[in-house]
Amino acid sequence: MEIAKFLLIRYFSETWGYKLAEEGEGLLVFIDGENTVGIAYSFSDFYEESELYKLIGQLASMDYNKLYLAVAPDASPYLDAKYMKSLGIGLVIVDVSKGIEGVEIKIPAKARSRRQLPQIDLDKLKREITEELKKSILQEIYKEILNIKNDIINQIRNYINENKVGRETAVEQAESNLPDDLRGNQWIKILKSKRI
Amino acid sequence: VIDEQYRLSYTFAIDFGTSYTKYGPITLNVPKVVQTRGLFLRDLPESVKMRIPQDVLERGLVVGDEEVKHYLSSVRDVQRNLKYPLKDGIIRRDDEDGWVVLREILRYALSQFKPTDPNFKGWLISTALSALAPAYMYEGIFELLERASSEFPIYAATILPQPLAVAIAENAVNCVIIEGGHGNIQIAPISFALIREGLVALNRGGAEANAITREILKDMGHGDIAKEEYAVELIKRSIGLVPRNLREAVRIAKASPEKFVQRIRLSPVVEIEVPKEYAWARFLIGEIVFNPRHEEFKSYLDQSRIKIEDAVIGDVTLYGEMDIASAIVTSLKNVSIEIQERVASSVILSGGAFKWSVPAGLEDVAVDSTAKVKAMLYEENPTLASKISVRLVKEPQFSVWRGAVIYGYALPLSLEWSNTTREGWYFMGWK
Repeated sequence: MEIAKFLLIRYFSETWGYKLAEEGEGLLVFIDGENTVGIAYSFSDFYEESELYKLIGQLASMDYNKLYLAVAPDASPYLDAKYMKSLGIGLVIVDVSKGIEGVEIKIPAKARSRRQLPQIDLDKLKREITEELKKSILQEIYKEILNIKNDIINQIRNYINENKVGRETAVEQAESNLPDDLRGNQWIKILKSKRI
Repeated sequence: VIDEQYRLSYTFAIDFGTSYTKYGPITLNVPKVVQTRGLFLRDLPESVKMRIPQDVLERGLVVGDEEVKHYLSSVRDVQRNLKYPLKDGIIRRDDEDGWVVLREILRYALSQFKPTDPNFKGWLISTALSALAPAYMYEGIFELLERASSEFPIYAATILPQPLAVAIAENAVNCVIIEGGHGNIQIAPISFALIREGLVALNRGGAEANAITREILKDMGHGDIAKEEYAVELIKRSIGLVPRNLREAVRIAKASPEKFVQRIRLSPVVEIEVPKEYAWARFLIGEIVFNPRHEEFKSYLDQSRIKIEDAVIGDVTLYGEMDIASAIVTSLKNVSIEIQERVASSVILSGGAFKWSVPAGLEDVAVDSTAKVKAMLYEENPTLASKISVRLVKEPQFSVWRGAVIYGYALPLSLEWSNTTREGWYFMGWK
């Protein structure tokens, strides 16, 4: 499931150049220039027809410029291409076993104009969303910094432990002759080991 | 015998940069610096010739900052006779005057160090060239060194690409080096060596930021100042801002322009001010280096004669409009998948095009280069961005020289120069 989703993201961002804007439960939203592209996905080992049409129903009511349903190849026998075309919903089949080659648009989505929302202050909304985004990004960054910090501390600890024991004195002597800015430079070892 | 100790004394590095050549032996803490230019002593009046030493006159040109200044007033046609041989780090194959200048700079550099040690058998010279340098430039430099070796003791010489030197100086074995120069930006992935297939070059840099600054100055009614490159550079450095997000920054600057108004003193008698109505344009100056694909740039670029377009040097295409994040991703795509993540883990920025500061009070809209690259990567590919650390080199001016010194010290002398791998030592007659 995760792999299929990952392939889907790669396919739309790398092959089509879309930008991933949002990731929700069973839903990916990309941005393609001024357009938004909503992709509902369901990857499962077995499918039920009714579940799939419920998903199509939900998808049809979403407010994006283009809509896609992404499923595993097993779902295709249950889907009626004509029906999907009439709704303008595109179909993407993701065959995990073939990697990125296995992602294919079977039915292209039709462009839809988005519904006019009544009287919403878009600027205000944008600001609020930006604020929220900033907050959550900052939180993520903070978490990441903590992780990196812990990693670095562990690495330094390991390095010190490894180097306390079993280090050849010859190397140590050679290193201690080096000027300060050369000592500890990993490239010296790499370059010295170069052969024809 | 060429042993450790010998190499720690007699390794000599030269970094041929477009504006400055940095040179000197491993024993120096910081290299000596000379402008990469030479003054040809042509069309001199007889009265001036009398005052010039015979050997200088015979050579026909001078290099060295003081020397050039000394003769500058004697030469009639400075435009024609003052020669900068490198453009974006590259010399043209048929630029005869240019090669003569490089030869003279090499002589100038070597003549300043004369070891008296009886065990001295010649220098081990490590030369750093642009990663875009074509094969003829390697051949040409070896030829210059070969010729110089008849006058100065040279034991052997090697050449390495500048991004590799930066990685060595930064002690980064797996990384992406982004060198932002005046004329171009090079993105070079490194994993134990330069990965040439992954080299991506952009045909823009500090020069485009200057061009935008010039147009803004003209709009502000300072057309006269806009003509002076020195002033434009100075103004760019003091008013240029890198926006975290251009659209947002412009919106904020237009909403409260008083925060972005700035005065700059160019000389004791000239002071200019960026008025409220142009305050927002300060963000364009920084943004263009990172991403020129915005509507806002169009009118400025149309006005100026600068064109941001693709170019070709040797067999490398330099993209005009590609933004930095896309360039990093493009570069990484050409690296073997197995090591992509490792290489991507560290992005190191070097060069003048990335020297931007954030004035106090504007931290919410303006950022430095590392934060900008990180933010752009986040937008381009969040998964990748979360795995990357971006930093600036510690010594922007000297890191190439320092890396070249370490390279020259450590590369085994048993490795002979190969034109295919572009690695190894080229031995001179002194062996």
